[in-house]
Amino acid sequence: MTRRAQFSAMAIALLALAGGLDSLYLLLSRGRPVPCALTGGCAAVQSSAYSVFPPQRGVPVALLGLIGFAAVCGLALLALGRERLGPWRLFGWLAAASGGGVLFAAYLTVVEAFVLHAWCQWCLLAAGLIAACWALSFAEWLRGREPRRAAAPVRPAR
Amino acid sequence: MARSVRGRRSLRLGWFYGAFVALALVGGLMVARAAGPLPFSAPVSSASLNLPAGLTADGFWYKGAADAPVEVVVYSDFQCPFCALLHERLAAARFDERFVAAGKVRYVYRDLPLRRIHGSAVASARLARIAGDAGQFWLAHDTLLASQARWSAAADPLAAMLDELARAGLPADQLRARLAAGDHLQAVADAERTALLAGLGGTPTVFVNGRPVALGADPGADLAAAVEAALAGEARP
Repeated sequence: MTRRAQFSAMAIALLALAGGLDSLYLLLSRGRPVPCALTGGCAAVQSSAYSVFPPQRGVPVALLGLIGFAAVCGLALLALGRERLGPWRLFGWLAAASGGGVLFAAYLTVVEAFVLHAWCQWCLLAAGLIAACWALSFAEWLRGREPRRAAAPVRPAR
Repeated sequence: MARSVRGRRSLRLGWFYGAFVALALVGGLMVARAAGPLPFSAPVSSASLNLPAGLTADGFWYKGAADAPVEVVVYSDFQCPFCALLHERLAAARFDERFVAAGKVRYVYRDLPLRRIHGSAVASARLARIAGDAGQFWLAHDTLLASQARWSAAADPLAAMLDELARAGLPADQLRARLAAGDHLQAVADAERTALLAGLGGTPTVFVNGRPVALGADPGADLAAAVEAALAGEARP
């Protein structure tokens, strides 16, 4: 593993830890007020039908966030010690897992913007953190593919 | 050479793992602490009980002067913790004394029971309306919101709600009988449908003279500020 990949894995683990703590905070604060000075809409978002998934009758989205960040964090810590897991490189798994998180965060952000018309700063923080995890892991996954591509052209025979 | 590089790396990783575990522990403790105090429980505000009250044309309870310059409409659910917080913070902001009793605000309660996430939302809304039939809506309203943390977490929330209402002086047996008879079932369902058709997804959703109000950590202060602004600006259309 290159030094850069190692730092990326460390950064992803720390970002996912922060995201996991953010989700844990929202989960423990369910049904209680949270500070919301930046955006002001935390109460509206947290008490809405969209605070669970599927809406109205599912599990708290904060719990899904906690599970997602824990998975990303675990994969990032694993990536510090090994290159591959099964058929894929670990950064591929990380990009896939955090990519799923980004899609889910995008759904929640769209709901905040167009359905609830209210913003929850803690939810936006989680969305930003998972996006950063994805950007780092996707970039590292792409970098890991480069040598194979570089080796592909056939050198002219002398 | 290779061994020394591996040794350096494992040493550095060892530091990282150690720092990571320490961060996770400290962060977890801080989060558990920040998530904080137990659910709030507000005292019943006696101020709201002696105010003029009545029903709007579409059948919702209001308190305050019918022709007050500012109308506050609150879409609420008796089992929603933020609605209880709003109630508590409005009492702390002396909202009723400052605005409702002073004839400046007509405060309208509209039911938006979030029945999918709050199992007693509909029953509590009906109980308040049944109490309202005897002119005691606001007593039931204040009691249910102030004692929410107790009855909402009880093994039998309905019995706990009736206990709280009985303690406030309402006839629990009659309330139970009329609940069983289906009173106000349709009215609450209609109110819920109206709110959902209006695109409202959460509680409390508050409007001041038709304009939505963003509520933050102290919703009572936020609503009081919105009312002040409305009073300073134009009167109710």
